[in-house]
Order: sequence, then structure tokens, then C-alpha cells
Amino acid sequence: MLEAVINGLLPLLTWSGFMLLLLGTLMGMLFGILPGLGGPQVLALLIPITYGLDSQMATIVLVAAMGAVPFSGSITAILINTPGTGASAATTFDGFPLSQQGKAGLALGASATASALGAIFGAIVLSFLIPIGREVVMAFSYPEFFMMAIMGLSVIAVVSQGSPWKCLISGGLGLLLSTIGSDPITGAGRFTFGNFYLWDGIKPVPALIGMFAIAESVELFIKKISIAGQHEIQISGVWDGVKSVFQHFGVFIRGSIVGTIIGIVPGVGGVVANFLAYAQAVQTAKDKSKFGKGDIRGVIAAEAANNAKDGGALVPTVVFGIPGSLEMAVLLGALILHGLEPGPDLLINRLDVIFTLIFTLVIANLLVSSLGLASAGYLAKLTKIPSSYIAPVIFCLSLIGAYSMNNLFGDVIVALCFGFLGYFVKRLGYSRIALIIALLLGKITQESFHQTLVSMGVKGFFLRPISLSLFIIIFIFLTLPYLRTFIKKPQKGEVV
Amino acid sequence: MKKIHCFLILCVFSLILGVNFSAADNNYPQKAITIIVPFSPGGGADTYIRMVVPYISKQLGNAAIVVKNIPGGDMITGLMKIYHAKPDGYTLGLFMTPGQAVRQVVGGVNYDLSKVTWLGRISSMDYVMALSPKSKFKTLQDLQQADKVILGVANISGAIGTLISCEKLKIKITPLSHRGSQEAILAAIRGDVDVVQFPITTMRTAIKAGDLNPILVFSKKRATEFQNVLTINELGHPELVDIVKIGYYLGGPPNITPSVVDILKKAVEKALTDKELHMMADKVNRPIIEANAQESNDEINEIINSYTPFKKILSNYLK
Repeated sequence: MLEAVINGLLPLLTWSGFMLLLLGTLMGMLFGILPGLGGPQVLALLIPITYGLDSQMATIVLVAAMGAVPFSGSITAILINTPGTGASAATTFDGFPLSQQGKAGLALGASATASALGAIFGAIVLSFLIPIGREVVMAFSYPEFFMMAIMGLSVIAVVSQGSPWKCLISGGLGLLLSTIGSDPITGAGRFTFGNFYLWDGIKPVPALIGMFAIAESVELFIKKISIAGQHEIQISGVWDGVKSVFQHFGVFIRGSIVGTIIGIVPGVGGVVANFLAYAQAVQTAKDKSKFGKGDIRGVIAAEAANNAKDGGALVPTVVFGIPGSLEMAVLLGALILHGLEPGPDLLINRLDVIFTLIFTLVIANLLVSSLGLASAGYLAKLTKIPSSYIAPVIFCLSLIGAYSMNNLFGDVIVALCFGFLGYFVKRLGYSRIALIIALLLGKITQESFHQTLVSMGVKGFFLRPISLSLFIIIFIFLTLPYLRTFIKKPQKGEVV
Repeated sequence: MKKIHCFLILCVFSLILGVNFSAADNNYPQKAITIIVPFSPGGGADTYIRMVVPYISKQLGNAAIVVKNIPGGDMITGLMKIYHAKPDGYTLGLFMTPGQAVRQVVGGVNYDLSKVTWLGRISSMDYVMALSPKSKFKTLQDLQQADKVILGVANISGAIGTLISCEKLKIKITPLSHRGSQEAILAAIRGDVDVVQFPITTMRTAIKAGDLNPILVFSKKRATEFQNVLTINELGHPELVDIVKIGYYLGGPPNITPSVVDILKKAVEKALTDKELHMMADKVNRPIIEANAQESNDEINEIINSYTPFKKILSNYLK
């Protein structure tokens, strides 16, 4: 084991290994920052240029790129309300309001620190879980997927600002929109109007780009103010952000645990990870009033989960050869091209490669977070650029990002439609967050519900320990506020 | 070390400047060729094409070849981009049977695979049916006698050969869709579905690890690695061998200029018979089972014809 650890680390200590790590990290950063592009795209681009490398060097450049994407995607989520992928959508909930208050540095500092520590957490868990990874992966099935999706949906209840009815209506609209496309079970087309593009339903990334970035650019253009408005940019904010992670260490740890667990479960995806982490941060907080309006705990939880999930997603990839996410699927394909077949064989015969993978993931995250911290002060100044300059840039970047993800014009149309929908949803006081959560989680909810019924029947939801526990937690979280009000006796002179 | 430094400098410059390594040939190709893959990056088909591309590029004088993933619409979105591309030889694509052929047989799609300019077959794989060790069913006979067998599939159009074979074998299946073949295999390992049926390459790791028990191979003769497992031929259904088979083909839009087609056909044929490629492919358990352009063309027409009698069953599944 120790020999494998040393052999795994050695390639990274060579000059060429470090240069490849740097190259991968910078490429990952670039792709993470551009809306719409992310891990799968940067890996697909890098695969051909790894042909001339040996398997460990190829692993370094690919994993470094993959590891650098999540935090980079969060930079745009915080600064211009544009999550690079669905996995950093929850970062916008509190990250962007902080930018609007002139506290982008605080959010970026917290995000960089939580990202780096989250990745380290995920990697440590991965190292310890490899021997029992099999049992952990097997413990989650359709009912658990369903309960986790419902848990994610329960965030809608805690992010409502203003009218809860408008929030529920927004969530309902999101769920309805998630039914567009081929039925995840029968394959029958629903609301596709004979259009092949709609067979896959509303894709998350163009919808996110439209709902947040395009809607924001339209609003900036109309209001004619910068993102931070009249607020002053606080220079000390970056270090306050770093410190805030340690001040709210419990939030960070819980976020990392949620991210790692979701990462381990193939088929659930990173989207659920950041929503669930955000939900637990809100539900376990005593003072919930600032969430959605710029609470740093929301950023810490979402970012910790977003990065910890990559370590988790490596568990099924190396234990079964089954990718835990789309990024992992591309990485798996690349490893195969280099003669490495992930699965039990790799685990037994090439443990050094697995440790190279773990070390690369950690170092790439530390590197990208350091770069993020170093540049956060400058990046924060972007929020003071006048709207007449920044709004068209956001608008153009959004359309390019929507197109470049799959090279489809249909994605651009979806982004534009959601842009205008997002603008009016916000203007009329409905909840964009509720709509997007429901849209992103709708498909997995209906899929896992149907799978459970076919495979196990209704009892499947309640006779499995993890599923039942999740159900009880959801029930408690949703009913506790009402129970508290009901149980709490009014004190003398207190108005309930 | 020097090699890696040169490589790093080269790739950084090529990425920044978008350098086009144009071929030595003055006629074709003069610019980058795009190969459209109608799937997301990662996965079997994508891995195959990325493995083969450097060898095709070599045969075309190191021409630049860009692999472009256009997933969605059950492979049809990408296929339409290939089919309606300008027939100049600069847009080619990866095709997969039976899914795309099945959609054509059912109707309602705007393409005809018999008109595609076929360049060659990269590989074709036999399927294996395997039981979950946690299932109450232990043999093929158990499955045939059961009232309900849950079959884990990736998507209905890709599993259509499997569904037809189960009808022929009189297995009363309830298909349960998953996001991909790997998720379906994992469901079988967990015991949430009774049986799965996928290409041997997809199932090899799980079977080798003892996580799944193979009970039937869809091939004419016994597979080397599954000598003790029955074949569909032995059960008296040789017609199912071609129906339950996956094939990856390389082709282009109809009516590509004949002189360009000749260059492409020769390049693809030489690339697919390259010994180095075969050795590499075998090493990673993704064997190249190539066919030339004419054989591919005949094979595709045969596949379409073999599915035509099942149009009614197909239409039921692909509503």
C-alpha cells in the first residue's frame, strides 16, 4: 500500500508531471469559467493530446483539468449569476446577492477555501472508502435516489422569498417543464411536438444560463447600474471569506459529507449534491432569514459539496468501472485508451495510478483555489463595471456558452426563452430558484419513483433503512417549523 | 523528458492558435475533417472512434480530424447533422446499429441509411445475457417459466434487439430503463433487476468479477471467454444473432464526391487493418472487427431488412 502511495506521488514530483498538472489545471479553469463548458468538454479536448503520453502522465493532465472545473464555474456563478454547470447552481443563491452587496471578495474567498478543503475531504474519504467502496455503492438504489431528489426539492420550501404560493407555483412550473422529452421509463415522447431536439427535454445548462445569466444581463441593461450598484467593494473581504469557512466549519463538514455521498452514488449527479448541501445548511441553521439574500453559509455548503463529490464519484469508477458522473465517463474512456481498465483489475494491479489520480485531484484543487484567492480582489472589481459594458458581454458569453456545450442551435433558443422567462419570473415576484430546482430534479424524481415501483413496489420506499431514514429526515425538516409554532406556548406579552 | 516538453509546447500553441495540421495532399483533405459522434463524450462508441481517429489521420497525411459530440434525440440529432452535411468529405460521422436502423424501420424520421456513404465498420459485438446473482432465477428455463422478469435496459431503442429476442425465447419481461448501460448493470449487481443483456465488452468486467452470471451468448459459435455458456444458435434461433448485435460504422452524407470517397475508403480500410491499432484495441478489450465500405453497405441493408418483419413490435415499444 505504502509503495503504491509513493509510486502514485512520484510522477507529480517530476518537472514534466508538474507542468502537465499546471496545463491541465489552467485548461480546466478556462473551461470552468466559460458558461456552458465544463469537465466533459475539456476532457474530450485533451484526450487526443494525451496519446503521446504514458498512462500516469495522461491521468495527471486529465484529472487536473477535471478537478479545476468546479471552482472556476463558481467564479462566474458568484460574479455574474451564471453557474458554469448545474453542479454550481446553488452557489448563485447566496453568492450573487453577496456580489450585489459589494461582497464578491468575501464570497470568492469562502468559495475558494471551501472548494479546496472540500476536494481534500472527498479525496481522503475516497482513500479510506476504497476497501469498503463496494458496500457503500450497493447500499443506494432507486428508493434512495428518489428520497434524495425529494430532499433536494424540499429546498423550495426554505428558499421562498415573499409569497410561499408564488414559490410553489414556480416549483410546479419547473416540474411541468421537466416532463418535456421522452419518458425516462417508457421512452414515449411527451410534449415534443415532433421535434427531435425536445426528445431530451429541457437541458439543464442552457436553462440555467438563460434563467440566471441572460435574465441578469437584461435586468442590468434596463436598470443601467453595475452588479454591485452603489455598494463599495470591500478589499478585506477575501480573507474574511477564507476565515468564514473555519467560523462555519460544521456547515463545511456537512456540505462535504453530502457531496461525497452523492458523488459515490452513480446516476444521481452533481446537481443534487449542491442543492442538498444547501438545503442542509438552511435547515440546520438557527437564523435562516439571510439565506437567498447573501448568507456566506449558503456559499460554503454548496461549494464544499460541489468539490467533495468528485472524490466520491471516483469510488464507483475505480471499484466497479462504472462512472459516477459524465466527467467520470469521459475520464474512464480516456483511461481505457491508455490501457487502463478501471474496475477490480486496476484496483489490484495498478493501485499507484489510483493514488496518482487522488493526489492530482487534491493538488489541482489547491492550485486553482490559490489562483482564485490571489485574483479574487481583482475579479471582485468586475462587479463595478458599468452595465452598458458588462451586460452585452454577459449576454454574448451566455449565447456562446449555450451553443458550445453540444454545438446545437436549439440550446441557444432554450437559453433565450429561459432568459426572458427568468426576467419576468423575477420581476413578477415568483421564484427563479424554485423553478430551476424543480426543473433540474424533476426528471430524476419521476425516473427513480417509477423504477422503485417496478422493481420493489411501494414498500421499497419504506422498508429499506437508508430510504426510510431519508424519508423521516425530510418529514421532520418540512414539519418542524410548524410543530415549533404549534408547541411553543406564547409568553406573556409575546405575539406569536 | 524532451519529448514531453516538445509535446507541451506544441499542444499549447495548437490550442491557442488553432493550428491546422493540414495534409500533404494538395487536393483532399485541405482543411480539418469533422467526425460527428451522436453521443456524449465517454462511453463505448466514443472511446472506439477516439481510438481509431489517429490512425485514419495518419493515412490521410496527418490531416486534422476533430471529433465533435452532438448527443441527444436518441442519436438522431447528431445523425441528422451528418446526413444533411455538405457532401464534400469534411463532415463524417459515427453510426450505430441497431438503434438508428430500428428508428428508420419504425418510420417518422427523415433519413435513409441505405443512402449513406459507408466507409467501413469499426467493430461489431455480440451480446451476452446475464443474471443477477441475487435474482431468484438461476437458469434460462427459470426465466422462461416466470410470470414476470425484470430486464434492466439503457433505453428502449437500443434494447430493441433484446426485447425481440425475449419475445422469441418466450420470456415475459418487464423492461426497466436506466440512464445508461452501466447503471443497468449496477442495478443487476445490486439485485434490483433480474437480468441484463449488453455487448460482451460492456459486461466483461462485471462477469469476470463474478458480479453477474452469463447464461446466453448471442453468437453463432461459443465465445472463447464463455466456453461453458450456451449460444442462441444452439437454442435454434440463428436469426437472432444479427438482430441482437451492436455495430459501429463510419460514414458520411449521401453523394460525397466519388474521388473523395475513394481516398476516404482507402484511408479508413488501411487504418482499420493497422496492426498497431489492433494490438492496442485488443489490449484494452475493445477489439477492432473491421469491414470495408462495400461490406458495411451490404450489412446495413441486411440489418434494415431483418428488422422490417418486426415493425409492429418495434412500433409498440417506440411509441
